[in-house]
Amino acid sequence: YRRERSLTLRSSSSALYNNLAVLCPPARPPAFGAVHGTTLSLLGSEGPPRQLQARGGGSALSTPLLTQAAWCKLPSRVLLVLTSQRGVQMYDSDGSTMVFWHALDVPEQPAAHSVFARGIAAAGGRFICVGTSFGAVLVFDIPPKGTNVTLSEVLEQHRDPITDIAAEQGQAPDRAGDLVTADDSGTLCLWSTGEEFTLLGMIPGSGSTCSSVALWNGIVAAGYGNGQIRLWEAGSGRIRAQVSAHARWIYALDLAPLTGKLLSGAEDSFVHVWKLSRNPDTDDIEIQHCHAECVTDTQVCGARFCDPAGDTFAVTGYDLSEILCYGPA
Amino acid sequence: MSARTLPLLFLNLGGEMLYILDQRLRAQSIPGDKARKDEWTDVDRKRVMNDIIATMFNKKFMEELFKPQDLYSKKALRTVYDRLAHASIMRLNQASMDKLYDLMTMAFKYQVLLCPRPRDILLVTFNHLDAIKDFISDSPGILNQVDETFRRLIETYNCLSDGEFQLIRQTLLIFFQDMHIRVSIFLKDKVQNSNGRFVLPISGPVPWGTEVPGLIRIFNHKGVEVKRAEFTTAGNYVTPQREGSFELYGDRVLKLGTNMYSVTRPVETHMSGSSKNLASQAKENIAPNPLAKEELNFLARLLGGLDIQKPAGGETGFRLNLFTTDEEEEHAAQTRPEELSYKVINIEATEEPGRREELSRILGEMEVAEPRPASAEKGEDLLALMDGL
Repeated sequence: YRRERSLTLRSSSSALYNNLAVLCPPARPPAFGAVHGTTLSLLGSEGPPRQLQARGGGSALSTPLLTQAAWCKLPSRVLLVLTSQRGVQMYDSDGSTMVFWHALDVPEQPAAHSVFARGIAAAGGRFICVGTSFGAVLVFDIPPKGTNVTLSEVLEQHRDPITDIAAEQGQAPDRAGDLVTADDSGTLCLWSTGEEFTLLGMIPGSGSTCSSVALWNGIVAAGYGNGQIRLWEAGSGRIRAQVSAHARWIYALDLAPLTGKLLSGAEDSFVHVWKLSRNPDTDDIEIQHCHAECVTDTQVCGARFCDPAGDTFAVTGYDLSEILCYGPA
Repeated sequence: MSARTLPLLFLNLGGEMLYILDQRLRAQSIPGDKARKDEWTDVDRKRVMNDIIATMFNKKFMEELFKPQDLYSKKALRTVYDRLAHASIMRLNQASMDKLYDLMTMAFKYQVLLCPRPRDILLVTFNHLDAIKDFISDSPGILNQVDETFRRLIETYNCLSDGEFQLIRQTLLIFFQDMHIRVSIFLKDKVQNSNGRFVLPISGPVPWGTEVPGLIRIFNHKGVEVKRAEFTTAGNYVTPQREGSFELYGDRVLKLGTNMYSVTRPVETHMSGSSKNLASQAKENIAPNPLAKEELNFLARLLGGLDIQKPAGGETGFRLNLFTTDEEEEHAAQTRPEELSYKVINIEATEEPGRREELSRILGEMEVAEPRPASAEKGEDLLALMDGL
């Protein structure tokens, strides 16, 4: 890989987990989004850059802070989802129209425990799952078109704030589940999606926050606050690999489904590219290091592949008003 | 986002403020017998430090501070420090106050950014408090107040998880976002680049609880380790020696938050000038803030707990200059870029007699010992007054 162009953002990126959203439409250049405080900076594949505000409301402080943004690809449509201290906003993919708004139960007076939504993923070809600081995961049923989004279920298994949610991007082996949710304590839950979601298994945390998670061919890749990446077998809940990957808190993980490449970004200024593989006969799971990039004097807060094979990727950093793009060497 | 951020922000910024004031007071002090009427002596310096620290750690003030609440704007917070800095016989001009606030905020931003673990922000806070206790080591009454706050910090924060500390850290980083003021002591020490961004080293000890990067361990489906591999990067990390102490007394190990100023190293700032980054920050400062009323309520509550002693009739305030000469201070005031102006709610400096009367009334009310909940009308009064300034 080598560094290519940089895209200018109107405002710098905030230090939030998974702070880079990428949409790769077929045969068009990708669109990007990064959160800055109360706004989302959108760089579309066509048209001028745009900014979306967190939806305010309520008696307390000014415009609420956004925690995350992600494009959710469903068979019938693509929605742009924003999570904030107040709730969940869903827009159509270019951010021009708000499709749906869900408000969280926010107490009158601020309580010691913060309230926010965080963690976004499309699941089961029909749902969008959003995590909350209460540990609950909201499951929204998305119609093929229109605004009639309904809250289908609330999954209450985690006891700590949700950090990230990921859906299976490859082929799940039997009983492995197709959704993983992660929280502040490092606990991972595996689910099978459907009319009713079923909890298939739980991997307890071991003292370190899991800030980012990916699921591919029944392998859970999880990034932790102590700089480790761990691979877990989704079906059995067993650990299959442990990598001392970063010297600081991992902020972002992303996976390229065609090749099994894994991207990790952390506060230590490094972005690493790894290769996951699973031997179907021996059932060996492997991870190899492919490439390292140092983003000088920057704490990386977002990293995503820009194509399904993982030949290109983009990075955001705290206080950086650019999206750094990397391509084949 | 975290409702527990304010005490840490306030105490650390306050700590930096005290380091800077102490350094400037020492630099400008004259031996007692040689001092003229308008010059500083060591006795004056100790008095100023004692007064400010006593005000800062006032019990009612601390109670308000520790209540769960969101962070307010830089503008609102700056007003609290303005009052604090004037809690004694010392006076600061706008330009010096601006510089003081710039230095305080950039120093703490640096400390938050470079903390190895989010939890280490607590160690940074303890470093500041340890130094504050040193400043007032011969005043047992104030020492008691500081110890009380210390215990309160331990009680509130020691039990928080790493995830909660990271949320606090993220909240602080949002507060400090886009601030790139260059500080000459940082530039000289090569911890800040000439573009105002901090140097993030990729060598040195890893945080406590993290392993040095490089090892890959593979396990089979029975959980038995079957393979090890290594990878290398440009980083050059080592394992840390020991963890800092989170007790009332102890070796903090971490150097962040200790006093980096000394009499021989004067502090200057350079304004970053107009850059794209500042544009968004400027908009935040200049655009009319519909929630100013909320912030005024916050200030009224917080400052209501401050017990500020006004100097008695005969005493005049001593002016402290954060620059090397009066001319420099004047020049700085005139050349400060518009977008970096804090647009402080400058309650003290108004000329019209009618206004001054009304302001004194409001100020008088704000100095009542028990913090009263600000009624909607009072909030509106203050708001109207600010608009008129």
